Amino acid sequence: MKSVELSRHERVLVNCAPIREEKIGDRAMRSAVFRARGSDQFVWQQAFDQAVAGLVQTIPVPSEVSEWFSVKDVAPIKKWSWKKTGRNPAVIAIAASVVVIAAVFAWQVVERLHEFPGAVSAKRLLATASSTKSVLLDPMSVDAGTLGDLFFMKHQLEHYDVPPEFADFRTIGARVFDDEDGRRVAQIWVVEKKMQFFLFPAERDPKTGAVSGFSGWRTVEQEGWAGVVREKDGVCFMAALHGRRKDLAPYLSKAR
Amino acid sequence: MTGETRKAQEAFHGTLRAAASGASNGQAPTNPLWFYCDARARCLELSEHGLQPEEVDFPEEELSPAAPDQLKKVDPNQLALWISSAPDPQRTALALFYLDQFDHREICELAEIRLSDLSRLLAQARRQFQAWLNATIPEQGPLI
Repeated sequence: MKSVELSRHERVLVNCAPIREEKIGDRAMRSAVFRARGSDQFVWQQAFDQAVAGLVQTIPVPSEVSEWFSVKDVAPIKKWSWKKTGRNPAVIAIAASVVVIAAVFAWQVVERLHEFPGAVSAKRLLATASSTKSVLLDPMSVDAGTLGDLFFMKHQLEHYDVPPEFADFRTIGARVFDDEDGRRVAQIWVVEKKMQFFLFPAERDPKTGAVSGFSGWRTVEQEGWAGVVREKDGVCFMAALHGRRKDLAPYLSKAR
Repeated sequence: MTGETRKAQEAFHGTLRAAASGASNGQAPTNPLWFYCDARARCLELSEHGLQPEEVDFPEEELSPAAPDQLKKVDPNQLALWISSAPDPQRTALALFYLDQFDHREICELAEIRLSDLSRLLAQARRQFQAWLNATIPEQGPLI
């Protein structure tokens, strides 16, 4: 019978040696098992343990015990109600952030829908409209539609015509001035709702010089002022008033 | 651990209830061995009621190379009874060791014993079981 001299600690470890060697995860245990491997006693111990472990695996599980685990919800998890979920601070925070993100996204989409070539100039002129005093304009009481000839003859401004929708309104005054970019702008003040009309050059492509036109009427709003803009023959016309865009809608629908 | 289905079921459901109650209060167990520790404690508590195994000094015999062959003839239920009637902490040590799922450190933690105690209890149980095997399934001599 082969036997190996083991220290007391090694003997302690060898008695607890795992049934399968691949389960040894301990350096001291591995060393003790390595040393004990040469002894018959350890070989018999391993064979004994493996046989007992094999037998343990075949111990039949009583049918009633199997039933405990066949039930779907061994430990039923209480489902969260919508009410409870809604009160969860994390859910509230997520919902709030989603709403803010959605609102910002929607606002940007709406803004983008209203964008058109010349929108920046139009908004700048809305600011001009809000700060203009009637004394700055040359007084004249005529139909707005007739001022196109005046702008052409006096200022050589071609196609600076008031569209038919706004041509019949009586004017209070008019003037022509250069904006920040040195472009010629015609401004007309009319009696109707103290509206102001602006005629200014449409935006052009910086490379080709072609007019960046757009079709129909577009709206702009800024600081309590609203405007409707249309482009024709390279000139933009804007009717502006102190109010909301819906205040201008009747004039456009009337034209249609 | 209990030797009785009813007691085992009571311990099983008690552990589940404790786990569910802790989880609903946001106190999920951090110790991965918590379920085994709790179930063992409940099994031991339940085992204190009812019939108790007689305290007997089992004879011990050295391990035999023929033990695996002898074990082939043992009814698995007999082995289960033999383990469940062992006194604790030997019962816990045997049950966990032969389940072959835990290392020696985890068994010591679960059974709340030192490594030297685990070593002694396992070695003693092997010798006692070998003696029982020799008594019930005598070793076959070489065929002539």
